[in-house]
Amino acid sequence: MAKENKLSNKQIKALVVSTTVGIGILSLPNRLAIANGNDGWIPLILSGLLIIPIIMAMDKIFQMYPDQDFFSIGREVLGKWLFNIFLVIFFIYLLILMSNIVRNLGELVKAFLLVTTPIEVLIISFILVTSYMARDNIQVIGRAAHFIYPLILGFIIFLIVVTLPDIDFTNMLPVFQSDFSNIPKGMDIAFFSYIGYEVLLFAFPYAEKKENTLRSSLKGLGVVILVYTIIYVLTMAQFGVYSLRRQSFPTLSIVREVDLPGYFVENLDGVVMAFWVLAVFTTMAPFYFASGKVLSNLFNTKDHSLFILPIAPIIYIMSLIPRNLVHLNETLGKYTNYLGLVTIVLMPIIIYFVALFKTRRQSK
Amino acid sequence: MQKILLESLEKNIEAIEKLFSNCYDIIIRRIEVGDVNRVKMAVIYIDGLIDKDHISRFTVGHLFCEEELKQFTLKGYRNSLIDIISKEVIANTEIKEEHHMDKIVNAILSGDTVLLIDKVDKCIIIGSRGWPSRGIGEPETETVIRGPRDGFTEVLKVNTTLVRRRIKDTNLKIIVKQVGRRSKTDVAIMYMDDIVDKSLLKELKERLATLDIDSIPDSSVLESLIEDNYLSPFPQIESTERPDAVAASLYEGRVALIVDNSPFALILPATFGTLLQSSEDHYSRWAESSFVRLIRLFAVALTVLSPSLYVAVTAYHPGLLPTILTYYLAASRINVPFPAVVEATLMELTLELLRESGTRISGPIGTTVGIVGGLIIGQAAVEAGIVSPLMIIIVAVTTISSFAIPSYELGVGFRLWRFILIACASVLGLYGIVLGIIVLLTHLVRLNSFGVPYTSPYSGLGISEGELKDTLIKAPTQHLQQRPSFTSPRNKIRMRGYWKDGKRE
Repeated sequence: MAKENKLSNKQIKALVVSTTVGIGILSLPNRLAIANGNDGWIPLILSGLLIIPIIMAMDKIFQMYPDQDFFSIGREVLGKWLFNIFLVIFFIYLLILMSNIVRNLGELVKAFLLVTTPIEVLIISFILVTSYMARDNIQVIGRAAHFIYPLILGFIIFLIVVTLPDIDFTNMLPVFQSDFSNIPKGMDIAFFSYIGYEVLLFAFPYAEKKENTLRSSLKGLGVVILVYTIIYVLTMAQFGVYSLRRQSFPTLSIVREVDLPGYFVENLDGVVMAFWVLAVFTTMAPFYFASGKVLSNLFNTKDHSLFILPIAPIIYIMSLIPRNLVHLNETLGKYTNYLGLVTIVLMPIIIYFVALFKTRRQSK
Repeated sequence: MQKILLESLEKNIEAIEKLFSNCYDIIIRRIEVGDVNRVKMAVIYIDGLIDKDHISRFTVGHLFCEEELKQFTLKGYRNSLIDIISKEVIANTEIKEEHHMDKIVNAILSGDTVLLIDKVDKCIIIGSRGWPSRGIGEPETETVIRGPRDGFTEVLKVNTTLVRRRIKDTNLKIIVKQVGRRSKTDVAIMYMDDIVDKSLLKELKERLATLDIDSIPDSSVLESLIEDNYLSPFPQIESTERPDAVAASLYEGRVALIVDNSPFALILPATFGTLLQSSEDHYSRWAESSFVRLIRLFAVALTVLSPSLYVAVTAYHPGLLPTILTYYLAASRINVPFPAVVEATLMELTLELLRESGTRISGPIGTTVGIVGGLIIGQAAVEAGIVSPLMIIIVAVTTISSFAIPSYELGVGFRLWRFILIACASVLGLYGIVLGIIVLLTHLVRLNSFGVPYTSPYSGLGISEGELKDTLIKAPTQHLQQRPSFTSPRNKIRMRGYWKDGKRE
């Protein structure tokens, strides 16, 4: 029964897309507009392109050590101690990232759907629901991702169709007018909206056709870049830069503007928010799974599902520390970025170069 | 207990009589054959299980009349008497020799006739099964407008024949195994030898071999015993009453199990996609079938979601609706003393009750149930102000759409989830529904049916092979040249050409 242990390339593509596209997309255009004005799409695309070499490095690592998973490769290449330090950082990164996600989600659901429900209930119920999926292995998450993937694409297409009538592309102009010294600042925001591709570290070893995996994961990245850019362009064209700077969730606001004949649902933003919970779920589940996996490797146990439920209260408590959304972005958001730089950017590259060095020396 | 047959006829009969003591349906008929040398024999069978006419005419009758037996002398006695009888005397077609006691008893119990001969330590088992059974009728649960109308019966052999008639190929293998310590139910495993995935077959045989149970009263019991996750509300094995559906699935490289005494054959592996197919899809025009398949998916969404959406919108998000609709909703609920959850649960439960009583009772009382139920649901409940008219519409839509799901068991699973989602909606509104959907999705995605992901091809496996052509929609037959890939068939091509191929050259 070999089939259940494989991930098809379509699933890997879907996994990249649905893990990356999550809560961030709702506020991304706003943050980019604040940093770069009309030219926010430049850092968006540039930082997307920056991810490509990292994914390629990951793929190369798994080609150098075929039939091994990420953990055994890391231990072999970096040595037990160094790799374990990386894993601890990775684990903390995942914890902070997840608390960031659930807090953001809780705040949004509270704002758009359930005004009177305490945020604690919203957060804990989401964590528990996700834990059911996280207890299973990456193949199952891949299947779920494939279910959600058309939903994300459908949402984008829907958005394009409904906004086209009253969109004004002149709002995009002027291009290339903003201060280019601000580009790195925008990159700082844009780059971390691509967090999620690290799920490939867990997905690569189970790929069905290994020779096409890199291509499909890059395709997934391409879809993500496209989705982000479209959303950015749409919101910018709809609102214009000054208005966009004042909308903290422009992607939801744009839906609110929609009014087509034949609608029997008025406030679409609530419905979209509800659907978006699914997208956030497919972002959260792989991270949750990964954190359990990392912990089980640190403690040298085979089954990662043991660790899933004990992690839940940690996420819950951490997510409740920030006072409000602004504070959340200043604390958890910042830490996520710093730790992310170490774990999902530096770690694969370091492993790649050390492995390259080691294999070269062996062949000599 | 005596393990094998002895040479003494009396001792053998005694042993069998002891086993069958107090069984009023056992018949032991002693006869003596031969003029020159009289040989004692005994014919043993169970009354009612065999075709009596057949046995008395072609077995007993021939024994009495055959010239050679009358002339038979002691010369060459030991070796050839049984040979002569089986080769030259008995005119029945199914015959075998046996000397193990348990196999003989088994044969008697299954409706074969046993012929014991004095001074021979073997007996002859004559195939004579013939018991009263229902004729081949139209399947009641899966009717079609266009397509064959024969359905399975309770007799294994009839059922396998119905399938065999559709597959005239030596690659159709039928292996019969007995399951159940006491019931010794025959289970036929049917598959196409050159198409089926061998690992699937191996897995199935392993699962069947581990079974140790008293009896298998129906194929549904076997289904729950061999499926992957028996706790799930969703069936992971398909069941059908239609021989054409079984034949079609065999051609797809799947395996069918036919259980004796059950008119429902099991087909495995089953996926969400196959459970939403009906055999009629393949008989009607492709556009209609495609449309119907999309409608079915819509029906699944409706049956799971509509009451919970009603609860969520009325209780938590009236602002989602346009103002006029909100007013209408509020006006229609103004007399209803219950919160939306109670209203929805009440009505859904009433409908389930109505359905249950309607299924168990047929005839005149059934009609009464229908009338009373229809009146209560349709008119009285609204007039009494217990439920709002909108709720009635929602309940009706839910029920109708749950019947649009071809697989009854799948529909039942979704019906149960409907109540879970109502509960979710009553606690957390739309957010709760989405959380419920996530749990449902996770559960479905985790399920496997004999190694095949339950949600394939929607969940990714097989999509590159164009599987959606025959699940999401139903493409014209000309475009379905390959067998579906989720069964990993060894022979992949199903169609090689049609008339346009020739014209093109």
